[in-house]
Amino acid sequence: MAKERADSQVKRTSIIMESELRTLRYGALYKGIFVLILVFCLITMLPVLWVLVSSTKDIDEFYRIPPTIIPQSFHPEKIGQVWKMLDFGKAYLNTIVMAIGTVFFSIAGNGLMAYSLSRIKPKGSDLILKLLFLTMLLPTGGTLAAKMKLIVDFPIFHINFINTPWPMWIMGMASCFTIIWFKDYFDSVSQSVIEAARLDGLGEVGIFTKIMMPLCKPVIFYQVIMNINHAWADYFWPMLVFKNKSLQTVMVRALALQGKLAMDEQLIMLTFVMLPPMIFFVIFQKKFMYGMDGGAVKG
Amino acid sequence: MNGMNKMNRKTNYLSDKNPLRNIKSCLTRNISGWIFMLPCILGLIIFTWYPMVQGVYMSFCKTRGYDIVVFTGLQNYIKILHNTVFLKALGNSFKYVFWCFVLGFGLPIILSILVNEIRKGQQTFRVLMYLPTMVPGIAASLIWAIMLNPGPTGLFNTLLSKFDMGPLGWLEDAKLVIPTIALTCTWSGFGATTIWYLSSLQSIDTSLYEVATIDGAGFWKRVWHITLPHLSPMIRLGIVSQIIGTFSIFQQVFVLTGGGPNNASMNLAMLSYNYAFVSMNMGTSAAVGVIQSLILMVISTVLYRKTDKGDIHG
Repeated sequence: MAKERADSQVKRTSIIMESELRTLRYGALYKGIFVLILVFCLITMLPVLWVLVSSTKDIDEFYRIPPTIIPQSFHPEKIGQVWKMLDFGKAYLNTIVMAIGTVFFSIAGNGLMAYSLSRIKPKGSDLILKLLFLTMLLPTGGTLAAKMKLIVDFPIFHINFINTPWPMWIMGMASCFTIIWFKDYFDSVSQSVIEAARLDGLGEVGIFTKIMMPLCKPVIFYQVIMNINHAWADYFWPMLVFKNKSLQTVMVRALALQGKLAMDEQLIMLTFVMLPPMIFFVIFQKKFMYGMDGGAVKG
Repeated sequence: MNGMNKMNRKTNYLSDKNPLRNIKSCLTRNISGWIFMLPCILGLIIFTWYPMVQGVYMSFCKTRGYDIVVFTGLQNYIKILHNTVFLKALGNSFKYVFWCFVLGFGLPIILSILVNEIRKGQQTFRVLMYLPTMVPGIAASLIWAIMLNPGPTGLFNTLLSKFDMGPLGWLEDAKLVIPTIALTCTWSGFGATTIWYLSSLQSIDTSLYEVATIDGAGFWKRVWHITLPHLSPMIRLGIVSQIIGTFSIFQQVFVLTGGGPNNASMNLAMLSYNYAFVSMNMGTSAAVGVIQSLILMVISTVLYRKTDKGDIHG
């Protein structure tokens, strides 16, 4: 079901009838709506466009009075200079490592948990499911200090997780929403396929890897995309955990550099920060929308 | 689904004649089930359940650094309830909810209805609307901070001066700071909400529109009598999640003002962070967090009671 929805075209459910479009009144209304949305989109894109076009303008132009909105100078060579100066290659690499780990742990941890809750249902798993729903209802305020205490000095083993990506990976491994999201999908897979495989002597691991995984490619792909996107934008725990400059992710670097750069350098840096997820989104737009349309959390 | 599963399993056992094999397969099934859940449960214990319990306990203790010194009962709570900054932050948290609601509640509903009308290029509009949401929160806030520069060279003030309006203080104006932050939140969030409403509009029964058209109902009448009633369960759920989400916004406040000027934009989430990492007072931070959680729980229970639960989950 969900797989079909992912590929389906946008269904036409508009209020104005096809026949009415030819009448003067509704034709004008339609054009009016079109222009209105177009203008609105342009206004909302203004901040992003402004950063993109202004970042390469002359530094003097930023402080000219009256200020210019459309830039008059163009210095593309600055982009490479700023990239080198801020050592952003390193930050990109750190973020990619973070993202790969997050994807792996999130899908392995949450996916296996959801699979067990949905399909294997060992004794006592319904209690865990109830606990999960309860946890989702409870806000996490007040856990800030307790979590930080765990990170700087993990009980019993006395490990210090500062400057390691493990806290983010472990947090990603256990996300109530992702578990429920996966479970909803696993629940919708026909039970008879699995029972047949079980009768044929396939073990639980075999059923998971040979039957569930291929069936669930669309959801897993969606989760991969969402996790990469989340890992890129994540800043809070990385900011508190990565104290060492050479380990910092893109967001942490951006935060650390706030107010310490010249105006033009800062805009170029912001371009580095926001362009990858935006390009990523334009490429995988259908997948992003799929989550919104078909698989949104129902629990 | 559950019932069917149990039935299937029962027939399995019946068809199998060797009872010993049954017990063994049942056992391996339980064991492998728990092994599958183990990593995730460990993660939940470490970074969700244990911190929740520990956080509540910490809020009743005097702390030094990250360590608990002594149990002091309600002392942390009494201390913060007499603190004017706390009371201000509490009020501000509700102000954020108010302004985010004013700026960002109706907009996605209107947009989704209008975008749904577009015949050619609808996907392009969807992408354009979603793009602001894709700008990472930190980058978005840093961009807003530059654009909202209170001097005459800030982009917003430059644009205002074109219309002969004086430069505004934006984030440095105590009266304007919360609406301005709410505006940046709306910018980051409206796209996702619009797409969410759009997905609901896709399931509307179009024959209703046809009948209404034959009956002579105009565009606005169709919106009022068909589209909005269809959307209403989503709208109710939207209100609840917006209120819960905006009550504890943190990232925008943290990057744009840090709670200033003079605590004018301080909210409970920011205050809890400041207690923990600026003044290194973990017990007080936990107490603020617990109070914030309690208020959120009360709000969400009341709101979910008011909205019809059956509709929301449908």
